[in-house]
Amino acid sequence: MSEYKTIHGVKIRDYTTDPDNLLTGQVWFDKTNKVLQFQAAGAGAFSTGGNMNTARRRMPGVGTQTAALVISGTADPPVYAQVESYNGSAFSEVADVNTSREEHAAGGTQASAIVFGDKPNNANTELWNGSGWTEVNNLNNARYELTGDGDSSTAVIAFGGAPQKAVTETWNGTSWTEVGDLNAGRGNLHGAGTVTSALASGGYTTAYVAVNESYNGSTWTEVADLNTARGYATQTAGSNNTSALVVGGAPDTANTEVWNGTSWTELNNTPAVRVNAAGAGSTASALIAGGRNPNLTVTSLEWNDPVLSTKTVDID
Amino acid sequence: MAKTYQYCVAENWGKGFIDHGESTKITFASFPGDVWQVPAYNKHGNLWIAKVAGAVKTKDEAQTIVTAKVDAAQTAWDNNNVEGESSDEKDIRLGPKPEDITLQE
Repeated sequence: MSEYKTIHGVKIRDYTTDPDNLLTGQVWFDKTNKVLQFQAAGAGAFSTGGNMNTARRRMPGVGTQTAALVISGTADPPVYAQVESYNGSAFSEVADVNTSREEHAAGGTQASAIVFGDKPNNANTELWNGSGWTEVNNLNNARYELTGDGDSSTAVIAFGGAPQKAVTETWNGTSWTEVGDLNAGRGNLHGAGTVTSALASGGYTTAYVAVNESYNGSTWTEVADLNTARGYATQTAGSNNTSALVVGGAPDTANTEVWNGTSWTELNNTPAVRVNAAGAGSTASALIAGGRNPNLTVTSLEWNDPVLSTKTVDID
Repeated sequence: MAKTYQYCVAENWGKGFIDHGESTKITFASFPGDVWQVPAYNKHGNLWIAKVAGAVKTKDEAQTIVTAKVDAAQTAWDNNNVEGESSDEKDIRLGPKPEDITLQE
């Protein structure tokens, strides 16, 4: 049998317990169980996350998989003012928004966020400082079924909305400014990114669409369509227009797609349809909370790609 | 005909109910009434049902639970009306009427 050192030029370390901070591809000998082990990276998959306190839908999320906010939303009726904070395992209620909302949008982080728009045609904007909400300058264009995103509460982009609105605005920490319109005005669309690099996928015009547009800081350009036309899905992303994850949506679907800057690829589905859920995180690590599955639900899902696992090598 | 799926009833308690390791080994489907579908004759599916203390159901028993929940959701949808609202406006406000679900053997 070949020696590992002959092939790889290094010896294998041995441990009595699994090493800390494992790296993908790392190999070690488990002295306790006398087996060879390695750290493998598998395909992306969903697991269950903590349950929300209040079942609702048509609300946005901000932040990351382990530090997120889910803001307002509806149970058809009532429309809730409640805001819940997620720590990676459980949700807890924090201070309510001043205006109960549905079909609104948000950007920022768990500690510093902004929420804007509302049904029907509300321009109201509120700022979150980690402990309370304060009303600030309104959107220039009142609307609902819009979307938006941003890495901080001082640099956020808002776009689209019902009925078939193409208008885009950016927030600089003080006020909203109109910038280049979407090519295809639509509501119920999915957005992610920043004021200089954003993505707008899907939505509803007179039917659900697969349209996908990329924003470069001044103009929107049509790029490759989603594989499945839909609206009311959950989109999460990195900090630019080259990565995005779209989960579920209407017409009711469990379908998941990832965007790599060029095209969409279908991934593992959610366990049930998931519509109108809040989202936070990135394509590698995302949170999908609440919404319908198909009924109103408090449950959440956590997406991780890749899924890391320790494998035992059969050396018999 | 050998069955493809097995069913159980288990309430999703949140974090840890399905972990990533299980999700990569089993294709899960969930339905109204806390009904879960996992592959039949599958070691990992059986271990997960045991972990969540799932109450195993036949396909027909699971179908009865799902149908009752869907019927209730359809009735609630029918009864959720706003005066003067058109059917299109209701579809936009509530989403589509919940559809019947047929479980597979």
